[in-house]
Amino acid sequence: MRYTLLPLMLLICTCGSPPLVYQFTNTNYSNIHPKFLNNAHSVVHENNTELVIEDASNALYRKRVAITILDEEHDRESVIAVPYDQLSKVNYMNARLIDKRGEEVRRYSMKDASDYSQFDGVSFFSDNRIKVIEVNSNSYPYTIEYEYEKKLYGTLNLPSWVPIGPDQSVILSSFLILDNGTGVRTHPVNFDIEPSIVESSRGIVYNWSFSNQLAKESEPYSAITENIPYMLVSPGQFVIEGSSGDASTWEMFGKWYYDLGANTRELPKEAKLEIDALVEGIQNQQEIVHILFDYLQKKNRYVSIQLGIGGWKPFPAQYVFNNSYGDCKALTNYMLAALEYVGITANAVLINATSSRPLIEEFSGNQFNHVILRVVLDNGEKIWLECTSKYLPPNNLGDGYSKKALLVSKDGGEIVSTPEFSYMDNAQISTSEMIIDQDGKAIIEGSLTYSGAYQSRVLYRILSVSEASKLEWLENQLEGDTKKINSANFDGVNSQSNQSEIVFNVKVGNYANASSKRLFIPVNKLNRWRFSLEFDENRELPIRFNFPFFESDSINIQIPEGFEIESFPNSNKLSKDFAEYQSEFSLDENQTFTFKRSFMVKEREIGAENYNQLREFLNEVRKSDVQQLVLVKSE
Amino acid sequence: MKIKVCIGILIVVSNTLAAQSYKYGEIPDNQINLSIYEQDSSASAVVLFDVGNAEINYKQNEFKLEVTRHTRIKILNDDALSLADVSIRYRSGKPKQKIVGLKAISYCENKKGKLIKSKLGRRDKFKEKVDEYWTLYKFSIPNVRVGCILEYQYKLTSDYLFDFPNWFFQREIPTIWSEFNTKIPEFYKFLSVTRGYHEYSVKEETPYNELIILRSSSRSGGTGPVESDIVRTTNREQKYVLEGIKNKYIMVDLPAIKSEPFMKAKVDYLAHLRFELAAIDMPNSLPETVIPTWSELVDYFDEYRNYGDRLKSSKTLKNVANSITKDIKSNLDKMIAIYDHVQKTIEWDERHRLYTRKSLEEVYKEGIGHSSAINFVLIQLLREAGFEAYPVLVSTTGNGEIIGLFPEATQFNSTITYVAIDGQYYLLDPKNRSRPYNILPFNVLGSNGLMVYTDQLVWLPVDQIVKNSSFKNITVTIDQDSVRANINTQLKGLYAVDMDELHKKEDFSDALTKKYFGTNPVYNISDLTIHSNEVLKGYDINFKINRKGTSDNSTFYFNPMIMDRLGSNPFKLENRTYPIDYDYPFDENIVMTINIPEGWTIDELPQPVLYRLPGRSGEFRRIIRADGNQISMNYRLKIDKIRFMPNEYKTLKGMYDQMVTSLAEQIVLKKIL
Repeated sequence: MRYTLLPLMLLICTCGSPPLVYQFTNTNYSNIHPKFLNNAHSVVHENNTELVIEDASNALYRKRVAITILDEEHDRESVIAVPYDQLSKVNYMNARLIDKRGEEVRRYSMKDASDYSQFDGVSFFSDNRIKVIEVNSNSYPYTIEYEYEKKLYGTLNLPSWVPIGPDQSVILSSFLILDNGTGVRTHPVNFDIEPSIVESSRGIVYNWSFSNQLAKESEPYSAITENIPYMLVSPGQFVIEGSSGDASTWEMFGKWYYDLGANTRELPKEAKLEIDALVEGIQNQQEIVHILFDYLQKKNRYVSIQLGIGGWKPFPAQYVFNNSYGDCKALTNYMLAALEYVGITANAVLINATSSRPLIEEFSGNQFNHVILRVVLDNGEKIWLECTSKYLPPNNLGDGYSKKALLVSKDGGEIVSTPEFSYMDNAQISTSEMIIDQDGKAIIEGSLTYSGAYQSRVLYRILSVSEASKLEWLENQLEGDTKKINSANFDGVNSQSNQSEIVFNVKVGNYANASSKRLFIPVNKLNRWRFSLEFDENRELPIRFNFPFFESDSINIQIPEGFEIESFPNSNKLSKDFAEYQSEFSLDENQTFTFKRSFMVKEREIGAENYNQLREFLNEVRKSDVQQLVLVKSE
Repeated sequence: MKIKVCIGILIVVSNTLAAQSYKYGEIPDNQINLSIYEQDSSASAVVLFDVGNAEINYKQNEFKLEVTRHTRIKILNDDALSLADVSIRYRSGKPKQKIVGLKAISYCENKKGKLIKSKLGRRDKFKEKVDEYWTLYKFSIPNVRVGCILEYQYKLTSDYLFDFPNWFFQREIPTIWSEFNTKIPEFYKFLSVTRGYHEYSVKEETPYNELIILRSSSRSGGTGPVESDIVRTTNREQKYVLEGIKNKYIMVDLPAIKSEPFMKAKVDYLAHLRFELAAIDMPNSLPETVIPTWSELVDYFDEYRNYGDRLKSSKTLKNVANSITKDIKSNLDKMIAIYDHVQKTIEWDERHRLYTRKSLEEVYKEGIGHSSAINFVLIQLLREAGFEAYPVLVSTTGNGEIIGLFPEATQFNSTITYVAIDGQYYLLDPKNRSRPYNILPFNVLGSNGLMVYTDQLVWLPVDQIVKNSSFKNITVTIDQDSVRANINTQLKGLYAVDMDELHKKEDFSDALTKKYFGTNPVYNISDLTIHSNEVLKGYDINFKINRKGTSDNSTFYFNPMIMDRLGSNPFKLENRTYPIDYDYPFDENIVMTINIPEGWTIDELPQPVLYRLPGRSGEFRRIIRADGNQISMNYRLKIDKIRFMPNEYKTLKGMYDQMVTSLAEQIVLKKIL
């Protein structure tokens, strides 16, 4: 690390009226070296981000960007969107649109910005707002220069610095932090650049610079946002709506969150009476947890209302009881209160539900957007609860498995791991018997069983809808158009078990294609693999599936009287380290044709070096799955 | 002992129009017991009733609009719980609207069969500012679960009578009873129109009268130059018997309208009632027309600064027109040259707009503009070249259909060009670089355009001269271990435009392969070559696929639909209560010749099939014949009109069912032993 003394005048003056567009130099399209254009949809000439932290509750955030947008793929870069809320204010915004010849087309200022309520896709109500300037051009390439400044009245949610985006080249990106003694901390992910550090009379100045980075070719089915460089920024001490905390250790950060909720867990008398009635006479703690969780799920629904302490403070348990709704914090807090009341230990666990970035364990601070609950029984057994779901059974966390998360308790925060799911936990199993007639009409009787991630999808799709719509879903699981479900039983789909079963009897009008002499029977219409990858010689990033999985299918087909087999499908066995597939076809003495299939992708992520192997593997699976059994009328 | 009904089915008998709306808080048993809505058992919620009253009343010396709304919804499944999260929009900017008397409640039966009411707490309402003008009043009704009834009521008031609301009878969930009552005094004349595909059960009109006291004030004096002039204000009160009309509109048993294939703007399908204030005729003052006639609207467009007034002769454009056309003889060729020039020099910014703040010279110089701006340049250049050319106002499909009863500028969102050449007229739209002059964008086809021509009112049907067709001539050669195919394609109309767009992609060959074969590895396509010299006329594809047959290689199966095979029927609904709208009519043809290798014989051929839609509105045909050692296939799918009515749905759906089955059929060849 270098320490030098910086002349004061270089520090940003935070007073006065700045709305004069910052003078960028050399932002012309024609000056971009061709090497930056390869694989890029945009080129950043300069991205200059500054964060000035005056004290634990006051900071300024300023951004100045000059970027050339090469084609419509990166038009989103021309939308200058500045989010703000009760705890921040946009001081100014300016922008300039420059055409490819370098001539200014238009200037924009905050007057031209639209002000919207920021819909995050989940929240019904939040006080998050956004100011947006849309710099419109359809004539590519074009350059925009913009700057904006935001005043932050609290330093808990400091924006991360992202020096380069996907499919983007960067000539120069820099980040400056001036910290006046709050102990702000940073952590680079996927890159490693040391800042220059300078002490001044106004605090310590850190400066990172990131230059001459070329765009990489984008790769489908990769977790791109996890792989681009970004830098986490977190306060030491912070103040947010009068609540002060310290994020410099997980322990202290967890303590702050715990204390926010500390006086929100008093249950009203009626709630206590209801709980007493539910658990009366039951000794087994596991059973009590299941009963209370079922009670929570049935009574309440998830409504995201983000208000108070920047959206951090949970609504009190009383509120949830009275209204039967709440967001993740409120519902988790309510369940926690109910468990506390019956004397069972439980803790809120902060987690990042959207999996785009893994938790950086060595860097404490706000890396979370969701909260779940961990229960520990007296015998040491742990039960994980996703309190926002009406259907997920205990220990099914939807997308929340195999993650690092922050458990909070009165003693503070502590990093824990959520349960691991292996491919065998995410299983889909089908067994069926089929009778087929000479016109290709089939009657299929069978069952479908789901667990893990498969179950979490089926639960919502089945339990939240009408009987008619359940049947419609079941019909869509089968190929072919003229289907009629004779009977179906969805009783095996429930939130109490970690496995869900559907039993059905369906008539399919055109299962097989019948000609005057033959029957062409597709062997696998129930669970056909459809996904394939495109050829790529130089894959760099791993391929990511939604989850690792296991599928097993077996079907018995009774060959109709008067037919014999003309063409028999080929059995296959494919085996790789990361995946396996097997299909077996057989015929017994009673003219029953049997197809057995098993397919597993064992890892969620498959290394780039295996890309083309995986591609071929999946192609073979697809080919195997579309085989047909051809029957011909006996002479 | 009270017998508890666990599962009730409410059967609504529509013809006995017993009142289906109730007072706030008055819940009949059949609404509580309803657990399945029989007319649509897939419904997750049903609107029990939705009643609106829009009244213009004389209050505090002014006519004011008062709109009350009272809605009751039954929740049948969890996925409808979010209906308890309600947002009401009102204008918080000037002229202001007010929401008063908002109340909301849920009714749920507890385990003992007792009805539990949960009122919305006073503090549980949020106001969310949407923008400068609009605010959302948001609330979540408490204690809602399956089986509960939600109810809410509020009143919206406004001094601005243009706020008179439209009423939507129909929604994404079924509605048992939807009622709208209006009360409009004689002074106000509204135009109203009903849209959608559902009949009224009640449509009544009753005159009313009421005694009001009209207050007016007049001022005298104060006009002279001397400051001391006395200003006198005289207040007059006048008793007046105000007459007017009350209307009642009721629709019952409205099916849900969900997004389905072959739909345009959703609003065009929902049953709704629209109002437009047309004229105000106050006593003691001259009648005031608020809404123009269509002819007046055309005059307005013709003269408006940012519309018709933009069409001005200029030296620049005159020179451009001259230089383009000077060496061309025929008028049609001149027109085409001008069209091509505009198409190539001015880019479309992807926006549909009517008005332009820029002069035509600016648009021309910048080389970019919105839909109308580009057409203005074309019109002016055509005029400079001596042609008669006019703007034609249109509405794109996303913007909704034009309602003939409402002469309103806001119904239009774009402009195309009318030009007369040698006694014939053409409609042009140069905003897409792939489209030749005789092809219009599909989002205006089938609509009516209003010509901005002041001598006479002219509505023009927006149709296309060139048919949209694709013709594939495929030769298939089967040999020892593979199938080779050569495909020669000729495209016309929008097919050619699409292909040209595809051709602009970086890797045309990849894009084309993906279009026809997806990433399907089953064919195992190899040796793929694509030739396309003149894309608008067609291209050639050659490729090889693996053969499929029995393991002893004595039998060979081949589905001749190597592309364009329909995997499943796009029409899933049993019935459709609203029209089926195609983007454009089309005609797709395949002629295939299959050469059978020596030593093989035909064992089986798929049956010929011909499915004609009534009134020659479309057909599906697939005929396969053997001729010596050749097999020929003729395939055609043709749709001749854009709109099919609900009563044609079944036959249309049947045609697609037939296609799914027939196109899966295979040719079987056997080795001659």
